[in-house]
Amino acid sequence: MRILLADDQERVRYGLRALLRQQPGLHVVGEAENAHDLLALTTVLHPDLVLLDWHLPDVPGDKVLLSLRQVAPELPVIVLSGQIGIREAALEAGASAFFSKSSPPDRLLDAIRRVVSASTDGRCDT
Amino acid sequence: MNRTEKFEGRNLVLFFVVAFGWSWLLWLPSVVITVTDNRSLMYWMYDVDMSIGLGLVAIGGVVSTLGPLVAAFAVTGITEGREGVRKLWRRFWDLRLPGAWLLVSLVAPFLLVVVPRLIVVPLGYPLYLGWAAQPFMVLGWVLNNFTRSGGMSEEFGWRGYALPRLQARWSAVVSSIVLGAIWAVWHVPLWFLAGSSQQGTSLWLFLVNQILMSVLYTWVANNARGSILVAVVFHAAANTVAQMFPGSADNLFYWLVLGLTVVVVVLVYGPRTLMRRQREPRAIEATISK
Repeated sequence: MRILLADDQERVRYGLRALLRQQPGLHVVGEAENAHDLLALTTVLHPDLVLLDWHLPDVPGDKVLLSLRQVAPELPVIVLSGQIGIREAALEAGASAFFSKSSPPDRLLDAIRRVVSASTDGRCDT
Repeated sequence: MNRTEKFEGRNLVLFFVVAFGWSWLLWLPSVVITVTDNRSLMYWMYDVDMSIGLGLVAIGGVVSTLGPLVAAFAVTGITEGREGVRKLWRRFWDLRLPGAWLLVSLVAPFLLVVVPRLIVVPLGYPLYLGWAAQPFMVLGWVLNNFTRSGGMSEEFGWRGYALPRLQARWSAVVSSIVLGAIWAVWHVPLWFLAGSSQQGTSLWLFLVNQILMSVLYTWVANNARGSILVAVVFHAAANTVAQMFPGSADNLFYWLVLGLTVVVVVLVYGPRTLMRRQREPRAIEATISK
């Protein structure tokens, strides 16, 4: 599975990269610091999954999700945030799943597996 | 924007090994006959040995060009399963692509060849319109180029499988140069194959041509959201116009027009993604205004 990371914080991307690298079959194929780069990379890399920080610096999370739907309608997106309160908004905006950054990392792996198995229309809360 | 060091190197190497292995092994008997007897396999069969074994070899020659397609689906199936194969196919058969880029992929190859050719007509060089008397022959070329000879047979592999993975490591232009060189090398046995359009032409000019054209393929494919259909149409159009107007490599104006087009595309669209930067804000603004 080819995964694209979108988070403006290098240390978060580093942590995610380190976590995912240990998992067989998961490849981090690109990293974006903002929504513009995310959309460009989504178009040229054709990832199977996006891990999206809800608070990118240039565009609000719900608008990023809408733009991703235009570029890649079936692309599953797991929204990441430190604020559990935005979970409903993320799912309503079309996220496949929500992951709280304060949750243990293995729950993110669970979410990835569940999103994969649910394919494009599955949703799960984490 | 970072492109991570995590590179699907193994999968990509496997893809190229299968693509080259399939095509080169199936070309090998024809190459051996050409080199030893300077005749094509079909001619040799007709003239020397009409055996079932050679018939099978001839059938192998027909499907030899499918190497990149076979490699793309085989490696995707092995590494990403049925869902990956479905996604690869959808990138060919998803018609929600920007229509303008489908038009560009159809028209651009003709302009790149015909414009330089028209420039030299006043200098006394004939246009060669022999095909105009046999339009059905052109239809045959189009069908062959869309399916077996270049289009679907190659683009599922080069622009469908390899390009996104190369772009995960390098910029669009560097990825295009690397892929263009590999793409050219894949064709090398055709220089030793009687009856091929490459036989007797310059391998080095072909290499330069494939690298320059590779930049344009990436430009078209990226702006069409990675559509394999657009790449197939571009390839089929390029091969067809090359058959309609052969000998472009001998025309200096062809190289000037092609080189200038590549330079303009890279300058206007940027080497990083070969996509206009304004596209992304527009996409976002369009959704914001809904």
